[in-house]
Amino acid sequence: MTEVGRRLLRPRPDRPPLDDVGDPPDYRFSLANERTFLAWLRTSLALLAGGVAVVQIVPDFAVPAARPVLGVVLIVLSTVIAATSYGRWERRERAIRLGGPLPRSTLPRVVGIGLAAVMVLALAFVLVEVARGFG
Amino acid sequence: MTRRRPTHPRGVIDAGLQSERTYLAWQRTALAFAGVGALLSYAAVSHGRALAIPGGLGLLVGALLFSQAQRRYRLTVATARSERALDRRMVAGVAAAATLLAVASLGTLLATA
Repeated sequence: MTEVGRRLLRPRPDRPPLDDVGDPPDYRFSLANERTFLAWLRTSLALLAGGVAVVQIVPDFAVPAARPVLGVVLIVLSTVIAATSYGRWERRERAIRLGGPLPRSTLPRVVGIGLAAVMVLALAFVLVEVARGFG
Repeated sequence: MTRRRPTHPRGVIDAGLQSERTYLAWQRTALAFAGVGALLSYAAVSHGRALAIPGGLGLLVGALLFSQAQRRYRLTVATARSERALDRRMVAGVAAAATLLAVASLGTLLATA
């Protein structure tokens, strides 16, 4: 087994298995948590689709690097959401079972800032396009 | 004339249709996977065959999820009152699939661009 695999499978005393923590929750809370998880995944897939489309389907901007830059930022955001989604679901499930407050997440901030950056960049590229059109 | 207050039947299993809403959320997610897969496959036709790899993965995961969502729905309704924990392999699996799809798409896009 690889070093990474060993580290992933090592028992974590600070994190006992989910089923051993707290009480079995009201199944409706679990299902709401599951739907939130799925909504994040769909957000990730939508960003991925946007990234693919902007690289492969959208016509060229006046700025040559525009499409790859927008596409890479979108797909990196998509990857971040997808890669952290299980951990988020797991921490919330744990909190629900323990009856504690839901853990904080920085993801809404990260996604908000990332999308704002994409939009500012897109606006800049469109403005360059428009300026060249009139020039 | 007094009207009887509407009460929930005692035997109601799926209060607020939680299980059904969750089933529909799984279905939407399956469709999103298939949609991304179709988009990548469409791009593969004109922009390099390599895109068909993540494209096929997306379509496959979409089809798989679509059929598994049914099974999970029945399981959810069955376990709703038993206090047993829901199976979370599907949650972990779909998260891994989405991550893999995003990374594979980025890789093939950078390779073919």
